[in-house]
Parts: sequence; structure tokens; C-alpha cells
Amino acid sequence: MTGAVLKPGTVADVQDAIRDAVMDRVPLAIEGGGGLSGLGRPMQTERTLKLDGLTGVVEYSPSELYATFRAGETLVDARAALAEKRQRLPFNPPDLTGLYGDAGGPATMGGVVAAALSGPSRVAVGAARDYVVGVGLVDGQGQALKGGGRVMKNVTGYDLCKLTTGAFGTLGAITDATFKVLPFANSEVTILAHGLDDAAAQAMMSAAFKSPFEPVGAAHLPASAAAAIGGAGGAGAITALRFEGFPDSLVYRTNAIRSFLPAGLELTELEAEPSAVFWEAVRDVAPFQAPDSRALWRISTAPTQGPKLVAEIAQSLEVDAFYDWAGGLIWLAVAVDAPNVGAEVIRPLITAQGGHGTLMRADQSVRAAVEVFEPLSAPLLQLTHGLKRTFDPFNALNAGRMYAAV
Amino acid sequence: MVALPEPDAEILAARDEILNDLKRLIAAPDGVIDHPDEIKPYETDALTAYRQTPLGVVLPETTVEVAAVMKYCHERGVKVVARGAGTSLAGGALPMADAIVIGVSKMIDILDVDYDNRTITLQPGVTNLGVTDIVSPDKFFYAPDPSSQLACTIAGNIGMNSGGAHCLKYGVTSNNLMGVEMVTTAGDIVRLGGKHLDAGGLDLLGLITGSEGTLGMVTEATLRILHSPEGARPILYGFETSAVAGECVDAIISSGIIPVAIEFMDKPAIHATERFAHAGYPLDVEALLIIEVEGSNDEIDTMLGRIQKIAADFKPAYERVAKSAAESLAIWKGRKSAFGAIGRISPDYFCMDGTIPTGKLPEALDRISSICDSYGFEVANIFHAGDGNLHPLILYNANETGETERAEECGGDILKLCVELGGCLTGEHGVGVEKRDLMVEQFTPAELDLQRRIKRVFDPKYLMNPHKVFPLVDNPGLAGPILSPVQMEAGE
Repeated sequence: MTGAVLKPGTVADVQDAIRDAVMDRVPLAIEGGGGLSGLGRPMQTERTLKLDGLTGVVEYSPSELYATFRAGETLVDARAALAEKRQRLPFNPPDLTGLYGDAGGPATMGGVVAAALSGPSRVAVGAARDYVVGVGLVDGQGQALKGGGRVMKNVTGYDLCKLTTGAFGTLGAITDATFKVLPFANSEVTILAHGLDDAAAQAMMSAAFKSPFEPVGAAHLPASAAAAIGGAGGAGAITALRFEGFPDSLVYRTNAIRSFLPAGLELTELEAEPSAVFWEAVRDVAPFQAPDSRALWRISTAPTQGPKLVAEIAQSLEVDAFYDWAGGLIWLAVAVDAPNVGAEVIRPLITAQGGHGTLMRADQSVRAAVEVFEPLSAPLLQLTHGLKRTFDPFNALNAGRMYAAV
Repeated sequence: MVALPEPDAEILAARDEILNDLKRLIAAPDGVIDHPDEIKPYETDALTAYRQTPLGVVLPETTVEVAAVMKYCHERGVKVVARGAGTSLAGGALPMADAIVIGVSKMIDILDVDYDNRTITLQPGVTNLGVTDIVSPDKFFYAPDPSSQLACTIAGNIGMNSGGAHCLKYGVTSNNLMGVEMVTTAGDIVRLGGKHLDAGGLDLLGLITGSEGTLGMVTEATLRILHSPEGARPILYGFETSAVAGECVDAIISSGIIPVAIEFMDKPAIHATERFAHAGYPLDVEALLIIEVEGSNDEIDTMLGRIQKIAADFKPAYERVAKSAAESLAIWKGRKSAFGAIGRISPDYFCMDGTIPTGKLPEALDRISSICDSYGFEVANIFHAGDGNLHPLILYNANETGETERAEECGGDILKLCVELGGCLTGEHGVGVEKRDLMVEQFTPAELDLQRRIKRVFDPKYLMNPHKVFPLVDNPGLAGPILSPVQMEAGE
């Protein structure tokens, strides 16, 4: 964090701060708790607009399945508010601040939206973008705008909720967000397979989703990642399938699915509580949390391509990886002294397979030297620049955090 | 009636030249339709109150042809209206006299079916039901299920972010669309998303879904397909008042049970559909709920048992669980043919599409009934009750002078009510031409201007479906408030 820190208490304060920044020609860094300030391209900012003072639940209607939080409401508090009514954010957003050590404050709901954070359940029920049904934001001219509303079905004008989700504050300062929420699962259980290599694990995970039994999570932790979180049933690689529902239905489905899985697997089960603990570790990327300081890539690809991609990368780089989303989400740690933390190896291989990669953690100098977000084709970069100019014509908001001038 | 702008006289005069140029860009000899008789089917969509004859209709077969046509129209300044099957109830595919229509009826190839990644990739002229037909032998399905699914195309579904009865559990098109290939207005071919589960960069895929053909033209789509559940079974409930039916929906959802679908019909809708589909609906109740659950037989029994226990508190006048696949099918056939059934009892109808927070259901029903009474129109209500998406059908007769205008006004009042109750103008049909002028009810001038400026980013010459979605203004998206710092200081 550099220079002056502004802590608005109201939307009007946010508007004033942005207008002042434009007039003073001082670009703003926008953050919530600040715990993800190490994610993105380094910015040349002299003022920080810190939204962690915009706390609280604006509106919560459990029976109508929506909740509106101010941007600075912490993820922990938001989860607690919903849990009182036995409800939750279905996309199970991770708290990734643990990847960056103690640099910042707690994860906030504004950060969840800005960074489009989705947890293990994404593979089954959808991502942050699918559950953000309304946003309030202040654009780069200090105008307070709203997108979406409170209802799930809404095709009235352009979907600014999706555009804002994952824009890393480059299009506007998020002041509040409305989420579709759903009831808690009645119970959960996880089936574990032990000792599979990455390819066999992926085949098992795809097989599970080709059954009618609705797994809600599928992750594979090779031995080193499994060891890092410990406690999930002995040494060696583990492959996990998560199921949720009423207990009688869980018994039925976890038995019935076995006939869909490859033969000869050594299977054990995690009951409700250890299951929840295991998936929290996967969700928050526990195997690579600080004090691990290796560079960290987050790669999104077609699930069946995950192990192949990692194997190809591993031919040229020493890497440590684990898989969520049935193989479609890869967390990949690379030694910091690898040239450009492997960018020249990793990016072309991702391009060849289809998908995208984000350099989630690396020294500032590396993040200034290599693209942090997946490079865009010329027409898409042009559209991206056009949208940036539309929302933020003076480049006042998180300028350069995603791409040059965006 | 919503006003349509005067056509561009220069373009009208150059019709023959433009169509000849387009014929050179399309390989198939029948790829450009210019004969008045053959153009006729393209004059309107399912909002038949509006009609316009376009310059001509282009039916490309490949992305490259679409790109060539788009590039030509961009350079020549010709307006473009993209068209799926023409089932829009909002006039989304209504052409303009000075526009060409690009139809997707020849873009029907299936490019890839990938069960391991649960995706299907296809050209967007494939129908919604056609997708499920391809994967159903392997027990997979495509979840969004608009009532027009037999005819409507994936292209149109993406344009309007279509939903359906089962999106309470499975979400709407945007939640099931993983990637597209799209041609920009300048004729560039771009890819957004793919088989991976989230996209890099800004979520342009999310932005173009539901953009009603105003930002570009989708030429290929990658969709999420899902393994079918072991079974599904609906239960029917009849109630003596609509308000109690609404309370029952609220209680089920509050209990933590999210069925696959919760559909609502009021008495006029029940009677019309029963006469049409013979689904065995009760005729002596004021409100009917169709609630569907999925799973194994045991799971379905257990879940229905829980629902029955909750519903009992609301003293339903009628309860029937479907006992066979044929019975389930009949129950859904009734619901899905509801619009057609209404068409048989009334010469014309407008189908509204507002969404409200579900807790406002009883109030909304009450006030919709008062609004329609005040205009002297009968109304039949068909709702996706679980997610608050309302389809009041206003019954009118277009042959009576002034009645179309009054019915539109009545519909406008209903949609304003939806906004007032905390909802929105359209849940799944889109704004089109029908609700264009109502956008000011939901958005501030600054918000509308921002949206027009977004359109300008994708469509600098404002040629793609230009008279839809936003109220007409001069130089849309150019007159916006991009102020200099000095102007901002002056408080302008």
C-alpha cells in the first residue's frame, strides 16, 4: 500500500474520493481488506481507497434466497450471518489471503466479487459469476450505478454483475453486492480413493460426473499436496468426491456410484465433519499457503486436460500441483528462481490446450515482467480497453492491475 | 405501440446493390433471400403485433460467411438483425426496413460431444430440444428448457439468456453456457470461454449472454450437458386462493428444500390448458402448483413426503402425485403448452415476463388482477413461482380499435409493478422492442447511458439490432457524461 489511505464510510464518500482522484490526476488503488494486494500487476498508485469500512448486511431475505452485503463485510461475517438461517453462498468462495501471509486484513465480500473467487462446489453448482445477482458500484467518474437486482432471473439490459465479477476493481469500486443464497446441505460425506496417479484420478472424477448421483466436489491431491494438509487418511495421493444431501440419500448415492467408478479402487469415506474440514483445505489452497513462498499459478482448463498439462509442464520445470474441479482447476507451485517463474513454459502449453492461467503469487518484479493474467487476442484486448474507457475514462481505478492500462 | 425509427432512405434505395454484394459472400445459391414472398416469414417473430419487411435475409452456413457478411455490413453501414427461430415474445428478432436479417437456420452442425468434460459444441442454429435429443441416448441432457424448446435455437437462447421451468435448480442459459465463438460487428472472429470452467480476462461471455443480438453474432457455442437424474416426479396441488399457494411456495423454499421446478397457474390458465392438453388438472381450484423433484425412487418418495408435510399446513384442496411416466409427461405437457392453449381461447394475448422477489407473490397477484380489471382485460397467470418469474397473459382482441395499445399499456403497468416490488422488467424473454421504453422505470439515465456506451464499444456504428433494448435517443452512447476533471469540479 502506498501513499494516502482513504477509508470511506458511505457510498457518497466513495464518489467524492473518486472525483477527487480524477481532479488531482492521482490514480487510486482499490482494496477491501488488502489481503489480495499481492495479486495482479503492480500498480503505480499514490492513493489507496480502502473499502473495509463499508461493512454490514444491507438486506437479507432467507425465504427469498438473496442477501446483500456491503463490500467491506468480511467473508467470515457474511458466512456467519447466513449460517444463522442455515444458508450459505452456494459457490463456496475461498479465502485466499492465506496465500500471501499476514500482509493484509481479512477477505471481504467486495474482494470475492472483484476477484471472482469460487470454491470446490463450482464444478457442480456454478461460479461466483452465477450467484452475483446485483452489484452497486461507483465508476471512474464518481457515478453511483447499479447492475442487476435481487432476483435470479433477470435479462433486463446488459449483465453488469458478470462484467464486474472478476474485473479486479478496474471498472468500478464495488460498494455492495447481492448474492443468491441456498440452504445448507443437510449432511455431507466424501469418498476417498488412495494412491492414484494424476491421470487415473482424473478418469475417476470424470466417471463420477457421468453418473446420476450428483457429486458436488471432485479434487485430486498428489502425495506431496496430500501430506501438506495431513490427516485425510494416511500417506500417498488422495482423490476425493464430495456428496451432500439428506443422510438416507447420501448412503444410497455413495454406494450406488461405486458401480460407475473404475474397478479395483481402494476407497474410504470421510464423515460429515472431517469431510468439511478437508474441503475447506482444498478451497483455501492450504497446501500452498504461506510460509510457502514459491510462485503460484492458477490454471483453468478442460478437466480431462489437467493431468496432461501438468505432465507437460513438469518436463521442463520442477512443479508441485493439485487439482480441483475434477481436474479443471490446477494450483501449480514453481520455485521462485525458475526463469520468470516458468511463464515461458506454462503459457504456451496452456494456449495449446485451451484455458487460461493466472500468476497468483510472485515477487513484484516478476509480476511487472510477465503477464499476470492470460494475454488477450488483439480484438479482445481492444474490447477490454473500450470497456475500461467506458467505465473509467481517466484511468483512475486500479489502473494497470489486469493488463497495461486496464 | 412502440415507435420505430424512420428507415434510412439511402440504404433502401441501394437494396439491389446490397443484396447482390451479399450474394457474392455466400456460397449456397439459396443463401440470400430477396423475393418478397420468401421474405414474408421473417417480417415478425412471436410478438406478432409488430411487422417490418427487411431488405433481405442472409442464411450463412459457416463462421467465415458470417464474418464476411458482418464486415460488409459494417463497412457499408447496413443494419443487422440476428435471428434464431423467431420465437421471441419481445420482438427481439423484429427486423427493420433498412436492415438485413442474418438467420442461423443453416448453422446446425454438431461439432463435438465430450461426455468426460460434460460439454457439447455446436453451431447455434441447433434447437434447444435438439441438443438434448443428441445426448439423451447416453442419458445426458441440456438443462435450460424454455417452453418454445421444440423450435427455439441455441442462438436465440444465448441472445435472450433463456430460462425455463427447471432453471430453479439448473440455472438459465448463462449458467450453462461455457464458451462461444463470436463474430464482432467489424467481422473479427473471437473466442470467449471454452471447455474450461471459468474464463480469463473480463467476463465478456457473461456480457454478451442476454445482450439480444446487439453486440455481435454467436457462430458456435459450447454448452454444459449433465447426466440425467435417475428419475423425476411431479406433484400437483390445488388451492382455494392464489395467496395461499404463494405462501406454500415460500414455506417449501424456507424449509431448505429446493425442488427442480415449482410452477404456478391460476384458474383461467388451468382451464385453458386442461381443455387443450387433458392433463387431468383440477378445474375447481383458484391456483395450481406443479412441484417436481428428482432422484432415485426412494429419494423422490422421501422428498415428496417432506413437501407433503409442509403443504398440509396450507390445507390444499387437491393433491396428486404422478404415478407413471406417462402421467408426469401429461402434467408437463399441459404446462408447456399453456401459451398455445391461451391462444385458443383468446384472439390475441401479450405474454408478460417480469420477475419479483418470491415473497411478494401474493401481493403481485392481487395487484395484477386489479390492474387488468381496471383496463377491462382478462388475465391468465402462469408463473415460475420458485424463482419469482411471472408470465401474466393479457387477453385482448387486436381487431378491436385501440385494444392493442390498451393491452400494451396494461402490460406496462404490470411490469412497473414488478420493478416497484423489487424485481425487474424481464426474467427470460428479453427487452426487445416490446419493453424498450419501459427501461427508464428500472434504470437511471446514467445507467442507461453506460449501457449504450457499452454497446458502442462492440458496435461503434450502432448497427446491430439498433432499435431494441434501449429507449431511442439521438446519437445513443455518444452523448454520455464523460466529463473533464474541470467539468466534474464544476459539478456538471
